[in-house]
Amino acid sequence: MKYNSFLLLTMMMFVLSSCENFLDPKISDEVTYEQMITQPDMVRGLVNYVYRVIPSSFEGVSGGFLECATDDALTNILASNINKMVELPTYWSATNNPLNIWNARYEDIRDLNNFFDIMKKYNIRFKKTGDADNNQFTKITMGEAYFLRAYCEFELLKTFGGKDVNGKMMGFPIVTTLLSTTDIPNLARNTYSECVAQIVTDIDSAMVYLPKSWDKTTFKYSNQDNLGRPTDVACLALKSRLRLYEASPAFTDGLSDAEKTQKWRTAAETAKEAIDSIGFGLPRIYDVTNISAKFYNDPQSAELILRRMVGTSSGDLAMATRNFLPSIYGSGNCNPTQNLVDAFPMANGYPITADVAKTGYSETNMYLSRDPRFYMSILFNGATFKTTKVETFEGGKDMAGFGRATIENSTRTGYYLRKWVSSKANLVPGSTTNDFHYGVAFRQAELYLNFAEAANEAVGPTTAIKGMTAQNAIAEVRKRAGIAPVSADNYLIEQAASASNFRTLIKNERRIELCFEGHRFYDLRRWKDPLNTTIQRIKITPTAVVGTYTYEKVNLLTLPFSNTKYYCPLPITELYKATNLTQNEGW
Amino acid sequence: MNKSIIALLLLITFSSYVSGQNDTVSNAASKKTQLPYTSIAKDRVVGAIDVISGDMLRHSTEYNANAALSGLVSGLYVFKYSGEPGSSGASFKVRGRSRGGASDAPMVVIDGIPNRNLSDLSMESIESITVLKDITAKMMYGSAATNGVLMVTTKRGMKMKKKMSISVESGMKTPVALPKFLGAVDYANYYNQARLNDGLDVAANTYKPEVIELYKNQTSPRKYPDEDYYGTFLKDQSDFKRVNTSLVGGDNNTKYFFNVEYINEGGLEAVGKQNQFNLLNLMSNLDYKVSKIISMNLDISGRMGLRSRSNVSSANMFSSMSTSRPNDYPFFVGMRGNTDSLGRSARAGQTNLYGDLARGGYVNSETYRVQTNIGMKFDFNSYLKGLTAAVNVGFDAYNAIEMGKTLQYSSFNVIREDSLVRVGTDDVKGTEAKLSDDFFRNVALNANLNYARDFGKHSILTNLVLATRSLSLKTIEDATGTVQDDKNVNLGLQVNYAYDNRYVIEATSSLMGSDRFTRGNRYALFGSAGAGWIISNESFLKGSSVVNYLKLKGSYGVMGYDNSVGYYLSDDQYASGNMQRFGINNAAITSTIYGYTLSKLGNPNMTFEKSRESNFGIEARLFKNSLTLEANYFEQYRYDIPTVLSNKVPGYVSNISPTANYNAISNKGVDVSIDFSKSIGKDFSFSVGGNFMYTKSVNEILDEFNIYSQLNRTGKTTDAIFGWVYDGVYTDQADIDAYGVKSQYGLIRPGDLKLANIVNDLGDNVIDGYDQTQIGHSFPTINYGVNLNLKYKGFEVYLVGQGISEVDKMLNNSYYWNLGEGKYSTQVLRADYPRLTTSSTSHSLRNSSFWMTDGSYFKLRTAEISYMLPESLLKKISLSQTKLYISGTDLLSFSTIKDLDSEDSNAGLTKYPMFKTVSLGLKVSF
Repeated sequence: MKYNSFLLLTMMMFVLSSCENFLDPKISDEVTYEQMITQPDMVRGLVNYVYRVIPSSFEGVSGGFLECATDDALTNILASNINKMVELPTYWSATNNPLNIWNARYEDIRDLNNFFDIMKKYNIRFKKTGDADNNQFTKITMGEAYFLRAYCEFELLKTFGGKDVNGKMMGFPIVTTLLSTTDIPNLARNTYSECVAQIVTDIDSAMVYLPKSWDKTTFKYSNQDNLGRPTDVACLALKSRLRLYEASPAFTDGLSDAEKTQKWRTAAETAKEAIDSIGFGLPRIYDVTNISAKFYNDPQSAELILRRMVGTSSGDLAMATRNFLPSIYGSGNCNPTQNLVDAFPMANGYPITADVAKTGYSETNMYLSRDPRFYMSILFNGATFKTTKVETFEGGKDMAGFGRATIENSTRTGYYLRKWVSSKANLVPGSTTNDFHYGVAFRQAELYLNFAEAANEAVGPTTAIKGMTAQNAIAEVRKRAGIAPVSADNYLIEQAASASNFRTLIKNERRIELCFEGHRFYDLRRWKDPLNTTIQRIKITPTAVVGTYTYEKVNLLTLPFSNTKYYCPLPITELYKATNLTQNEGW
Repeated sequence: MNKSIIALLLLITFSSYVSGQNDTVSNAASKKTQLPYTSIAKDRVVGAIDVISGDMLRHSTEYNANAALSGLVSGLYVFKYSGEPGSSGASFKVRGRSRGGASDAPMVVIDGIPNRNLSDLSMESIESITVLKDITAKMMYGSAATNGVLMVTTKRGMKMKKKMSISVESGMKTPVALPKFLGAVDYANYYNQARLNDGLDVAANTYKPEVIELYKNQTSPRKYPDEDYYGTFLKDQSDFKRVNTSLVGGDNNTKYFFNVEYINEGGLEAVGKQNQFNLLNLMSNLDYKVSKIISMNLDISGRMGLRSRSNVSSANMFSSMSTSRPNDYPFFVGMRGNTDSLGRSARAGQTNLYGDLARGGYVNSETYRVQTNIGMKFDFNSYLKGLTAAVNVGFDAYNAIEMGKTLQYSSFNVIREDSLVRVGTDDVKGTEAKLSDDFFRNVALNANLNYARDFGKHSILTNLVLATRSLSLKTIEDATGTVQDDKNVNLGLQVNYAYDNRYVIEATSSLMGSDRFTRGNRYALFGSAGAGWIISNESFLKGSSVVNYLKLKGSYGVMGYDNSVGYYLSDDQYASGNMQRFGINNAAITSTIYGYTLSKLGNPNMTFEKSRESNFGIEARLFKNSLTLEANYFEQYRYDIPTVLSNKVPGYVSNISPTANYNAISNKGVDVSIDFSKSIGKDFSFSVGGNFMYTKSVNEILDEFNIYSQLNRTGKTTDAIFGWVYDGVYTDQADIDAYGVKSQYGLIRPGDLKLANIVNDLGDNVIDGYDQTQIGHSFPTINYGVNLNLKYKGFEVYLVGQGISEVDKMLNNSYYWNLGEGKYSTQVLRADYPRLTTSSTSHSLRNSSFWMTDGSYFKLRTAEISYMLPESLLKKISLSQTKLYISGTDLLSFSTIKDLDSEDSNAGLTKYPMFKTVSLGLKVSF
C-alpha cells in the first residue's frame, strides 16, 4: 500500500508545478504596449485618437455654445453647467470648472509623445508597399502629430495662460516626452513666452511634413479621402491665432510699448502670411436665401481651412434637435440676446446707435434693413425658417405655454439660433431628414480679423503691413458679408480716421462675423473688456392691429463675472497633486 | 522557490512525527469542531468559530438557509432583500464591514468545495453550518476566505437501521407592508398645488374644478379614470407547498443519505400569469469503504428550478404600479366589468399594465445546477498511527436559460368619453425566443495529509493541504467583454499542539496563489498563530461547582485577499476609441482611422490586499453547564486595498489613474453569545439564548482630496451618510430673505426646507455639494438575536428574534420624495412635508437630515409551535417520530418606519414586497 502515499505526493507535486500555467488569465480585450508596437495601425491610432481636440460641434460644453456664457446668448437648459456659470455667482471656480480641459489635453499630449517615442525607438512600417510609400505615409503622420500637439498646447495656453498669484505671466507645464508614472516629476508652469515658443516649434515641425491641401492628390496619401486632416494653411492659421493671443492686452502686462507693438506686428505678419498662402479675397459664401447649403451645412465650403464633421456619411440631427424652434419639434436651446441683435449694424454699415438720418433704424421695426448676417445668424419674431414663421410674441407658438412650447424648449430672450442650423434637416416624427454638420477649427474670415486687429494696434488702420492695411482687411470681411452693396461703406471710412475708433469697429466685426464659433468668451478676456454686462431680452406684445407689435427691451440678468478675473482657474486637484503649480490670480 | 516551501512544510510535518513518544491515537469520540479539511476537539480551538445545527435552521418557514440564518449566529449579519418567489433573498457579512461595505461577502464552502451557493441546498440536507470568524480558522482556505467562511456540512449516512422521513408543509404569505398612494381627486388637487408652488401658470396644464368633479363622481371613467393599481394587480396573499423525503442508513461498509425535495411557491399577481416557482432538489451522499485503508465517497446533488411569469418582470410591474398616476389611463374602456377592451395611456413610454400582464406574453426560465464531488480517504494508521490523507475532486455546473414570447395587443386612445380610437393589433400567437442565458462551472481539487496523535500529555495535529479552485462565468450579457475565470491555488499547513489539555498553541500558514497578478507576483506567504488556556483544567478550578469550563484564547495573523483585485492591473493597456472619419462627407472608413489610447496605467507592484487580524476570546460554561457563554473581541485591519489613485498622479503625467495597494480600513468589535438551558422535572425544559455584536469600521487610509475638511472621509466610519443639515422650514419670503442663501438645486420658495450653509465657500451663500457633512451612518453598530425554546412533553415552542440598532436610514425613494410629475404617495399628507413641486430637482428633496430616521428594527424572525406525538402511540402504527407544527416567519416587526418594510424600503415599491409567512406542517419518520 506504499504506492498510495507515493501517488498522493506525486499528485500534489504535479498540481503545484502546473500552477503557473493554471494561473495565467485569459487574453484580455485590451492590448499591451508590446502588442501595440507590432501593429502599425494601432501606433497611428495614438495620433488619430487626438483628433477629438478639433471640435466637431460648437456645442461642446454642457448647455451648448460657449457663447451662452457671454453677452451673446443664453441657454434654456437651466440645469446645464454653462447656465449655472451665468446664474450662480461663484459656480465657476477652481474646484468646479466646466471649461476644464487640463486632463483631456494632457492625455492627448501623452498619446502623441508616446507616438513620437515609439517612432524613435522602433522601426514602424505603416506601408508594406515599398520604402517610398512608407516614407510618405510616415511623414504625413508625423506632421499630423506635431500639428495636433501644437493644437493641444494652444488650447492649454488659451484656457490656463495668465498672470499667476506671483504676478508672473505663465502658461502651462510643457511636456514633450513620455513622463515616468512611477518616478513622478513635480513640474512647474512654464512662462507664457516659453509656451508660445514651444507651440511655434511644433507648428514649424508640422509644416515640414504636411501637404498644402488634401483636395487633390499631390502625392499618394494626400487625397480628398483625408479631407479634415490639417494642412500647411491650417498650421499658419493656428500660428496666427497664437500670435494674436500673445499680443493681446491680457498677456502683455508689464511689457514696454515697443515690445507690445512688436508683438502686434508679428501677429499681423503671421496673419498676412496665412492669407497669402491662400490668396487674397474671401469666397462669396453669404447668401440669405441659401446659407445652409452654401456655408453652414457644406463641409466642402471654400471658406473652411480646417473643420471636423460630426456623425456618419449620412449626416446627423443633433444640431437640429437641440436648436430647432419648439413649433417644429426642436428644443430651442440656444437663445441669442438682444445685446447681440443690437451689435449687428444696418445693411448700409452704420450701427443702430448712429444718427437715425444715416441708419433709418426704428425701435418699432427693429429687424428691418439690417446687416445680412443678422438674418443668417438669428431667428426673430416674424422671420421665416423652413416655411415656418417664427412667433416669439406673447402668446406666439414659439413662446412657452402655447402649443408645443414649454419652459424647457422655448426661448428666454425672444430669439432663436439660425447660424449653423440646417434648413434642410427635418424633425417631423416619421419623416426626419439628416444634414451635415461640422465644427470649424479655422476659416478664412478669422485671418482677416486677426490681421486687422493686430495691424491696427501696430501701425494704425491705414498703414500697410506686408502690403495690406487693417482697413483693407475689414473692408473685405464687410463687403463679403453684403454690407453697403450699392454704395461705399462710409461708416468704415469714417472710423478709419482713428485707431481707437477702428479698434471698436474691429471688435464688433469680430463679434458678429465669428459669433457662435467659440471666440467671444476668450476674446473679451484677452481684450480685458468688461465682463459684467447686463443681458437684455425682447418682450413683444401684439397690438390691436393683427401683425403689429410693440417691442420692449427688458433686462434679464447681469453676468456674474468679475472684471478682475481675466484668466481661467487651474483645477485645484492638480494644484494639490503637483505642488509646484501656481494658480492664476483671482481664484 | 515554491518547491523549497513545500519541502519546508513537509519537513515540519515529519519532524512532528519524529518527536512522537507514546502511541495513543487522538480520541475520536470527543466532540469535534469542523475546521477546513480537518476537525479538532473543541477544547483545542484557539479561534472564533460558531456552529449552527441544521435542526435550528429547520424551525423556519424559509426554504433556503440564507434567510433562516438571521438572528442565530453572533458575528453574522443577515440582510433580507427580496420576497420574490424563488429568490435567495438574503446576503451576509461576517463581523460587519471589514472592507468598508464593498466586495465583502463571506466564502461559502459546501462539503469542502468552495464557490457554492447556500441557497442551492435543501434545508433538510444540512447537518451543520460552521462560521469561521477569526484568522486561524480561515487561513487554510486561502485568499478567498478573508471575509469569513460559512462552512456547510451536509448530512451523511451512518451505521444504523435505515430511517425514512417525510415532511409536508403548506403555507400562506402576506405582504409586510405595501405603499399607499392618493386617488385621482387628491392627485389632481395636489398637482395643482405643486404647480402653484412652482410659480407656474395655473390656467394652463392644471386640473380645472369641473375635471376634478368628474374624477370624484366617475361619470366619465374612460376620459377621467381613477384607477387603484395595488388593489387591481395584487392579491392579498400567496401560498407555497413543500414536500421533503429523506432516507438515511448504512452498515459497516456502505453509508447513504438520500434527499428529495419539491417546492412550489406562488406569487402575488392577481392579473395574468402568476409568478410560479417550482423547485426539485435531489441529493445523494454515499460512503463506501473500499479497504482497510481506502474509503471513498460520492456526493451528487441536482437542483432544477422552473419559473414562469407574465412578460413583465416583477421589478417592472411594481415600478409601474408605483409610478403610474391614478388618472393616467383607464384599464378598461368597455362596459363596466368587461375586460376585453383596454385603455391606452397618453404618456410617452407608458403601456397598459393590465394588457402587459394579461396579454403581453410570458417568460419561462429554467435553472439547472449540478454539484458533484468524489473523494478518497486514506487511513494510514497501520503504517503510522494518526496519519490520514484525503483527495477530493469536485465540479459544479450551472446552466440557466430564459425563454419567452412577447405578444401584441390593441388598446384604445380615449379622445372623448364616447370616442375611442383603436391603436395596435392583437397578436395572440407570437414567436418564442431565447431571452437570456447564464452558466458557470466550478472545479475544485484538494488534497491533504493529516497527522493527529496524542503522546501522553502531548497532543499534536498537523494538516497539510493543497487546494486549487477555478470558477468560470459567462452570460450573454457579457458578450462583448472577456470574462476572466477566478482561479486560486493554496498550500496550507496547520499545526496544533496541546499540552495536558491545558495549554494549546496553533500556527497556520498559507502560500496563496492567484491568477490576478503577474508571474513572479502570484504567490505570497501568510501566517497566523494562536493560543488557548483552558483554566478550568488547572488544579485550582478543577471540580468547581460554579465554573465547569473556562478557556481564554487569542489569535493573531495576516492573510491575503485577491477577490477585490482586477485582472491585468500590472501592465499598461491600450484600447481603441474615438474613431475619426475623414473625407468629403465623413465617408472614409478604413482601419487607419481608429484611435488608440492608453486605457490602463499598469502598476507592476500590484499585490494581495491584506488583513491583519487579532481575536481575544473567552469561553465558559457555568452552573452545572446550564449557562454557556462565549465572547470575542476582534480587530481587523484591512490594508493594501486596491485603490484607483485619483489624487496622486498629476494630469500632465497621465490622465489615467493607476490602481495601487493603498487604502486601509480598520474594523473592531465584540461578538457575544449566551445560552441558558434548564430542565425542570421530567417533562419541562427550556432554553433562552442571545447573541450580540458591536462593530465599527473606520477609513484609516483613503485616497481623497476635499477642499473642505468636513467632507473628508478619512477617520470617519465607512458607513458615514453625508448630506445636508436640516435647519427648519422657510415660512415666507421674509424668512427666505433673512436666511440669505441661494440654492444650486432650484429657486427657494416658502415651504422649502432650510438647509444649513455649512461652508460659505467663496462667500457666495449658495447651498451646494460642499455644504454636506456627515449626518448619520447607514450600517447598524449593533446587531442582536434572541431565541427561546420551551419543551413540555411533546409540545415545543421555538422563537427567534433579530434586531439591529444604532443605524440611520435615509428615506429618499419615490415613496417619500415626489419629484417631477410623479405619483403622490400618502406621504404628501404629512403636515411637515415640504413644499410640493413639479420640478425634477428640488432644494428640499435632497439627502438632508430631515429625511433621515432611526433605522433600528426588531423582528420576530421565527415562531414555531410543534407537537411530537407520543412514541407509545406511534409504535402501534410503526412510526418512529411524528411532528405536527405551525410556524411563522417575520410575523412581528418593531421599527420607527411604519409605512414600508423597515429592512428594505424599496420592497413593494420597485420590487417584490417582503412577506409574513404562516405555515402548517407534518413530519413523519419511520
